[in-house]
Amino acid sequence: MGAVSEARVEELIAREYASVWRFLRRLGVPSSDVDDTAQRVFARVLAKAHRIQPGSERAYLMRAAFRAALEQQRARKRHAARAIELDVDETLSTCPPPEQTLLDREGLALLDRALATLPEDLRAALTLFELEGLTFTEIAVALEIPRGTVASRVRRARERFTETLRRLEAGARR
Amino acid sequence: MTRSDHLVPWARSEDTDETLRRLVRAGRNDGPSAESLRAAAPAIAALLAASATTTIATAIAGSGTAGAAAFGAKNSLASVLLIKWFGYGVLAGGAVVAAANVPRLTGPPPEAGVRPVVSVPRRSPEPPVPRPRRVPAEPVAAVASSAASSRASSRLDLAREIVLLDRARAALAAGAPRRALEALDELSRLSARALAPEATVLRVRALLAVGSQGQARAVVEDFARRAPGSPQVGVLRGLLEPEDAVPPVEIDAGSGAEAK
Repeated sequence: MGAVSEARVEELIAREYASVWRFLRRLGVPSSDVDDTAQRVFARVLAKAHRIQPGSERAYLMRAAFRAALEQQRARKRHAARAIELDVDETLSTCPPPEQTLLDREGLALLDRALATLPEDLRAALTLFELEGLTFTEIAVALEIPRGTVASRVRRARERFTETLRRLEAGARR
Repeated sequence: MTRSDHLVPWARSEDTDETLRRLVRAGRNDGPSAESLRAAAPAIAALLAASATTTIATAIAGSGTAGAAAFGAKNSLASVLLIKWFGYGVLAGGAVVAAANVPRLTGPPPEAGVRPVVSVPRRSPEPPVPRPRRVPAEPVAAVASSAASSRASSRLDLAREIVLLDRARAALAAGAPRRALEALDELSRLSARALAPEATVLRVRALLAVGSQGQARAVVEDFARRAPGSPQVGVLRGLLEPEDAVPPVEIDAGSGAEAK
């Protein structure tokens, strides 16, 4: 970001906050934690803003978000026995925003169920490419992988995702 | 930066089936609530300020704008953001100043007066993640006076205290008393004590909610000993009475099923 101005920071939050928030949700961060986690992600990246090239902010925000989601997942696994306050079904048990249609809610539930079956690296690659519109270069920075690896990761993620989707739909029809 | 020509996103491919399109649409339509969006910037500013607290407290020297110029970009930004969203900040020299007097990096002059405190969204208790790593500060001038710098850091602690109190309140309201207690524990490590009575009420309610009546009673008695004339003493004692106590939210005592 070079020399950071308040206007630039506010513009960045306005432009990227929703995208980071969605990415965290698709990575399994519970709705009760996602706002705090997103805020921490922005604070981490903005603290190093002078080192980030203008135009690359999204990639670094997604990198910080991916790391934060993995940290949370590890912490949840470590404290699994004490985790008695988590929602059973995160998507459907929360209070949806008024503008979210029933179709979207059901779609989101199915999307998250299918994504949850993927390993984190495939889940992240698929989400960033299909849902958040990042370029391959941005995805490479976000996931800290070579640019040449991104395409194969997205392809593998697509295959596993669609296979899981077919299985889930077949199970629902029975 | 361009996308691969060999991989077209599902949303733009004609070959994508209807189910996938629906899921992608649902994923793209998801997002934070309006309340969450409004609270984001002030909360981020408070986190930035908290991580820069030590740096700011030791960075002040001299007086006037010359001292402010010695700040690193991050520290000045944190101060400016705090001013915009909380109405106060830190200026070189250690004096806490009103919004109108603080030099800014760019943009229009800050708003005068104190802005209302923005609540943290009610669905956002403290997550189990490490705090942001502290970035080493740019080289800065020495502290002007320990009293001035401690006033400055107290003001920044107050901003963080407000955010943590809101988190504790939101966690309790969401039926997550343990998360509320984590936020209150972090709150108790801060230097500013101005909001202590409210924090004590939240702590007692959270302790009662997790079934720690003994600890809750100890907190109430400790508060009563330290501040016998406070109106909060009556409120706190009232919480300890069975009919006024916050019921456990995790387990229903009668049926054994999860409450709610």
